[in-house]
Amino acid sequence: MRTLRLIWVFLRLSALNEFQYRANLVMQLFNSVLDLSIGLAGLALVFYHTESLAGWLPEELLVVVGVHVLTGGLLRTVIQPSMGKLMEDIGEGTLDYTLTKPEDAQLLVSLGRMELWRSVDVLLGIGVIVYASWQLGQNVGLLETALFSLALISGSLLIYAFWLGLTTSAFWVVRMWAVFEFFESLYQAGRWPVGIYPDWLRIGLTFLVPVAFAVTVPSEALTDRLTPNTLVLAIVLAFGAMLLSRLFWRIGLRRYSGASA
Amino acid sequence: MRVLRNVYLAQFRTYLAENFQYRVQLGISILGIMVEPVIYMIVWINVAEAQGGAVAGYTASEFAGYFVAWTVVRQFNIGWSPWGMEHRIRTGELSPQLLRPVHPFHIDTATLLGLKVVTSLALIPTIVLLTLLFRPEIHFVPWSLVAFLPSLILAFFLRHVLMYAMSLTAFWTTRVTAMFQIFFAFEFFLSGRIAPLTVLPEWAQRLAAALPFQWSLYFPLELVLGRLTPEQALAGLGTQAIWLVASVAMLLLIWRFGVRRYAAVGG
Repeated sequence: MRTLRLIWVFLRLSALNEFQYRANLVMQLFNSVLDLSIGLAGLALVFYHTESLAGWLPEELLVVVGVHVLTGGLLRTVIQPSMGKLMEDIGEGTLDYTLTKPEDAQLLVSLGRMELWRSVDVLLGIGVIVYASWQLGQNVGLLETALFSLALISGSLLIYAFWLGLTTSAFWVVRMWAVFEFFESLYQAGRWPVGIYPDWLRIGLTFLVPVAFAVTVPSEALTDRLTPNTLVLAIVLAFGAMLLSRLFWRIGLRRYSGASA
Repeated sequence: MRVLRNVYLAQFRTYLAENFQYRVQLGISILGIMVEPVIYMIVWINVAEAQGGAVAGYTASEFAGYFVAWTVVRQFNIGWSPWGMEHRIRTGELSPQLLRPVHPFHIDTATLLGLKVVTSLALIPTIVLLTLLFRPEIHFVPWSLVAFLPSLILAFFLRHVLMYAMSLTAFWTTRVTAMFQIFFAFEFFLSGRIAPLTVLPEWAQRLAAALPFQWSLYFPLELVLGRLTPEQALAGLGTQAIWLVASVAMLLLIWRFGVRRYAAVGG
């Protein structure tokens, strides 16, 4: 309950902050729509030459694009900005200010900075998913929606745990920006179902970087491809990753010596 | 001319020394550059295989060859960052640069050339790795490879000058971002970045032919892959030169009018 209230406070604060810069919303809308158009034009180009890509029909790949935009929005609204701020704070010693507050430090740093306008992508992604499912003509009922939500939540938690782990390594290695950029570019690989990639890359995108669980698996839930095993694996991995990243964060925190020490 | 040469050499050396300090970072950013070509390579290999082996004149392993060569040319055609000038103009950082006896363009260009030396060293292991992983097929033609060198240099300067000229519009508006995003969106499809231009529908190919984008990526690529006749190669180099001259003229013109509008903030 307390956690939820805290999240609400952070959301309200950053909303108040961002409403000062309303012109940025227009800019963000423009960006998001342009990005989506590029993605869709790329898709159209592929299907100009073939009827299906690794067994996925055009409308099914549209679901993948939608989920990619949606989780990308989550990533760029909360996770990436907060982790970027955390890395700065570790490097400069300003993490002190967070640590002295009487709340769980992991929660505080995870909500440290939000770029709310970026959540335009979340709405846009949902729009694409709804349109694509309607085009597919399958009845996406309560069950599919529930499975999809479960897969999406697991995938998002996995991505969060992965970024937290990555950022926590800044306690040991300060210069991590290049690594950050690298993984951001790897996220692009999720625009296509991981099934198209060769084995070594598919395994990397599944277990090293959880792009498969964040994008492909939720898309499978809406396109009649999801097996119970995959869903269970996603949930178990999400749990494991959350625990592990928390442990790693605790260990890292012990190494932190602050600005004044 | 002597002065200019010394400026280039000095700037180049400083940059080289600076960048060799951060080798690990550089290695990782090279890895990042590999991501995009690898994704599209695999997409088109999948399409080619689904269509019985070839699409738009490229077999699966020729697509692999295309995107391996892509990685090299792309690394060289990375030009002036469009947001750099906006930042300088907005913050007034441009003022001291205007006082120097050489145009800021030369200093920026020398810096970029220094970067190219560092990145081309890092490219060697990248190419070896990509070759081992994807078994690309490239039919090297000796004369075509010779023509590739000048085409690569022209490709870099064409893209660099064009982007520099466009970034100067920041003298009028401090929001050049939107314009550049549209520029990059067109470039993505019409320069050969997402796929060889033969993959595009015919109307898009005709559009590409009328625009400068393909001359800084697709044309040098076709030379590496040995897909052109000597006449086509010569005509292509000529077209590159024409676009370059036009871009330089545009740069000079925009600079002349723009710099008058510049009112420094602070100093």
